[in-house]
Amino acid sequence: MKSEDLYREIGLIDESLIEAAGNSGLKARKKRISKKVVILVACLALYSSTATALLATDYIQNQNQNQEPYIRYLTAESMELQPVTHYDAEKFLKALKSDNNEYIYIAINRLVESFNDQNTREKAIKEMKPFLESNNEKIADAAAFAIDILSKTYESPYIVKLADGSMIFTLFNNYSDYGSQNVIWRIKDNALKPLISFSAPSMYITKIIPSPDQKLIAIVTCSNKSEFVQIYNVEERMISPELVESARVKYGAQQEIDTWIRTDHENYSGGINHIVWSDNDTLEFEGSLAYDDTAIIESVMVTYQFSKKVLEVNELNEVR
Amino acid sequence: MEDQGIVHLYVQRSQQALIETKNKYGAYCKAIVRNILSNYSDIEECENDTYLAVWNAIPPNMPRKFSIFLGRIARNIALDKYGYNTAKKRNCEFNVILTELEGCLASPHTVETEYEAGEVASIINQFLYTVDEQARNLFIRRYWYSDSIESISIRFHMSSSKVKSSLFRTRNKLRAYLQKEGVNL
Repeated sequence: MKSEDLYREIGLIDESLIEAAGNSGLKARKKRISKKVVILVACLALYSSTATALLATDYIQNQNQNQEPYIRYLTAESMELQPVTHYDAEKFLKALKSDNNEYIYIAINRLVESFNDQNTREKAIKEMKPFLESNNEKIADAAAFAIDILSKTYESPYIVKLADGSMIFTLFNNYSDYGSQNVIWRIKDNALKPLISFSAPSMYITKIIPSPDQKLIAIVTCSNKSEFVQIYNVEERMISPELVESARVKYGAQQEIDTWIRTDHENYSGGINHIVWSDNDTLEFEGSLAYDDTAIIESVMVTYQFSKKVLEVNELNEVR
Repeated sequence: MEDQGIVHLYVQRSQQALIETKNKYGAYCKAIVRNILSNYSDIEECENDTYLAVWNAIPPNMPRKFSIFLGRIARNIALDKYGYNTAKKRNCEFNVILTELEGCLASPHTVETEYEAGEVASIINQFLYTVDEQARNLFIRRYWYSDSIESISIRFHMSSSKVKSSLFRTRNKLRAYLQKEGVNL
């Protein structure tokens, strides 16, 4: 056996030992640094002339620059450095006074995020009221929706109410021909938080359909090439696989059609129609599945039972 | 993001998994690879190969400790690359580590026995539980994380010579343990 092989074998030792070694020895290191600093400070006190202090400060700075940085875990916040950008409601309130309709539309939607701050919320409602009469339909609709949320009346048809009393919705509703912003927000226990967003290629949320008992939601998302469906149990934070691609792979295997998966995960499938909950646990929808770069399009009926994870895909003509 | 969430993204085949892995463990993977290889482009390549290997491995594998799983893959890929590199491109510090490990192997006159992958690892594992915690951690830092003697001495607040002598003793003990267990490497 070569030393490389032995090194490779050492790679397979117990995970708990590796983890323990990974965390070991750090406290001692911290102690040593603090001792150094204490000694240095004591020396500085002895030679407390201004010139010496300046030299010492310079020395400490050089020490810090030469020290190898030790970062245990890089968080998104730590990489931001200071100052970290926080949500700034004042910026959006100011934007309401802009003469640019696009700015106003964005500001109205972003101001919904001030829900958790009572003062800003009240101010936002007051400032947004004039836009209810706007000639621009998109702005008027956005203002009506934002005021409905911020004033806690919750009458908008865009709001989906769940069995646990919480509510979910998207902002920037139907802002594009394709759909709404790719974030689902949730109000639970009188607090607003982002609930989920979808990774590429899902760029827009087009539909949120609650199950009859309001415990599950079917979410339809899309890109400009494909459509996607997933079922989400909000309370238990469980989500189904993506159903259109799963159906495409399953149906391809059933029909012995070559099914390639693109690296960008665009499947050029969709055409989601008649999406309905047949019971509290089962979702049905019609769709078009694409194969061989859309040379073959198959119309199918997809049925998915969430609790049992059972997916059925049948040719649409057969079902009819 | 929690490790469980990242693994879940891999299971879902979401490319976000790769972004989250890079965000959370990019520096960690690089540090492991950097201890084995010295060429910057090799390090970058190994880091990317690690993400691809994890993408291909999950599913069906479901790692219990994602960081260790990732580290193991990065380590193996870097070691393959190290073997492939010419003598000029090799990392001198890592050469020293391998030379140290040679001390645990039997003399060239002994007839070697073929072992299945992981077979020797389980004996090394048993051995590591027999040595004291400090010596064990020093050994793993040196031969799993491939840390330099200097960084180990800083980490454990020990002098370099003390680290070297502890590693020397542990290697000798390992060699004796392997012989006692009938392992001829």
